[in-house]
Amino acid sequence: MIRFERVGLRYEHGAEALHDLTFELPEGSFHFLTGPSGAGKSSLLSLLYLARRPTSGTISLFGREVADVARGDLPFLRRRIGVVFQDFRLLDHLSAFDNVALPLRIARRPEAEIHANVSELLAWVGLGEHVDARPSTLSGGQKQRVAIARAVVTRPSLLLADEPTGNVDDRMAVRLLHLFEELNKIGTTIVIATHNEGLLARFRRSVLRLDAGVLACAEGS
Amino acid sequence: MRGAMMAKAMLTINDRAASLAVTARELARRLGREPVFARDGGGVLTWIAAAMAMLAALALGAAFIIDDASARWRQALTGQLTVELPPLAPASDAIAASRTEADRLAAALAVLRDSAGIARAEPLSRARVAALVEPWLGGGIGAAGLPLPQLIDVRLSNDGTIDIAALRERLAGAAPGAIVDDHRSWTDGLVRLANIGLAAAISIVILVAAVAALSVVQATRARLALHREAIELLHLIGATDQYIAREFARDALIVAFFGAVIGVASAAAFGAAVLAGAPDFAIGAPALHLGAIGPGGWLVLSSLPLWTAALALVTAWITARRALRRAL
Repeated sequence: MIRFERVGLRYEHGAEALHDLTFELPEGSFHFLTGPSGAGKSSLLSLLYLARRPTSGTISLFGREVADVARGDLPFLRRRIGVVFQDFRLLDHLSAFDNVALPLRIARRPEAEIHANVSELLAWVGLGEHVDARPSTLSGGQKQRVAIARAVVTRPSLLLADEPTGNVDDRMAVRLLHLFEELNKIGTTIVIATHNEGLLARFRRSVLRLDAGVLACAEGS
Repeated sequence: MRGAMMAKAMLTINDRAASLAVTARELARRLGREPVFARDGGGVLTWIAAAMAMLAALALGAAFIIDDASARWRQALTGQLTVELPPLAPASDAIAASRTEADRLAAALAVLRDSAGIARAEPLSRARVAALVEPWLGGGIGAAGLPLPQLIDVRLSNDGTIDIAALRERLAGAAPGAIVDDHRSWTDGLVRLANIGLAAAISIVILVAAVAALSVVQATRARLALHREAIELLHLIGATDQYIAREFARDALIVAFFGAVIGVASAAAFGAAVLAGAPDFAIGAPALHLGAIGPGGWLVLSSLPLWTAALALVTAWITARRALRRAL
């Protein structure tokens, strides 16, 4: 499903962010990605959600070598990936509903289906009363839940989340993790970057530990 | 039993009402859906489109009016000739002179009335000729006894084509010194004027379209830069370049269309105000007025917002596609 082979990433005029990463994540697996700040977690995720290409090594995703994917085919590959960005990346002029509906509209899903799915999902993450709210009127935790709803609304094959529980209380964090588990049960591969040791302890899953751009250890579940 | 049926019917009605409410809400949501990219800066493009459409409408409107005036002047002058018999040299006595001029007029009329393609030939009275030259020479010409040419108003038959050269030759034999004026120098000048007006209008429209296209290119580039982060996000959640370019093109289309509607309406108001004080020409009705723009002309003018919108759509689409090609 996901295969990294001696993958390295060096930013332009910068230090090497990732060095010689080799690992495999089977389809339908659930992983935490952890490590100290600056270890390269976000860089690794950016390679997974195809925002960057590695400067060395090869990445295989859904059985395809990413390097061989034509630029015109990237959007269709990206539609199979849901991403929760650390900074949410919500569009400020759109309502919570329209932000969550965006991936579905991009994929040209019928509006009736969009309405049903988005409404249900917003209600599930506790934002049923805020469907028309602009992100600027929402708290950090509420924005994060909108971002999570947008990431999972397409039922992606791969869900990547960068500190998805950083702005929510423990109760909501657990609730969101349960949502990810539900998705995992229906076959979605999950990779969650987090510092939250409590979550790692509570949800005993495979852990990829990065340190200074190197995979320090991979602990099985 | 009856109560249960009533309750079931009420539930069905409620379900249908709820379904209709969802549909109506959905329709409202779709119609009122916010554009993916906030429409900031659209105001400038609206006014640029308005100014460009106003210029194009004024240029085209002027061309239509000039073309119509020229056609009506040409129509008034074609189908007729004027034969001029200049005054003869002074004779020894007035009676002899008038007899000679009368003979020459009769000979000229005989030739004209005998010629194929001529429906009617009538001499103009001395008083009428005096009235015609009065704007240039002042009143009292006839009474002063100044020599005036004899003019013959000739009307051609509707289907008649006439050989002017042959007519001139025969008139020269019958009435020496006769001048045949078929108004060609006038009509040729009018045609040239109308053609120049049309060419100028087309040039202005092309120039305006080029400036409008450049404005759309600049506005689209500015918006692409402004929404760089949103574009990156859209790419990351699976948007194709076509999807993003379509959003920019659709926004440009809407802005340009409404701007052009304002521009064309302003041009019509401006044109009506200016032409309200236009001079009344001697031939036919007041020559320059909005009524001179025919249905075809109004169709072209009223379609300007559509052309402006189409130009903005295509330009924004191409600009966005070219810029997005550089994204990952």
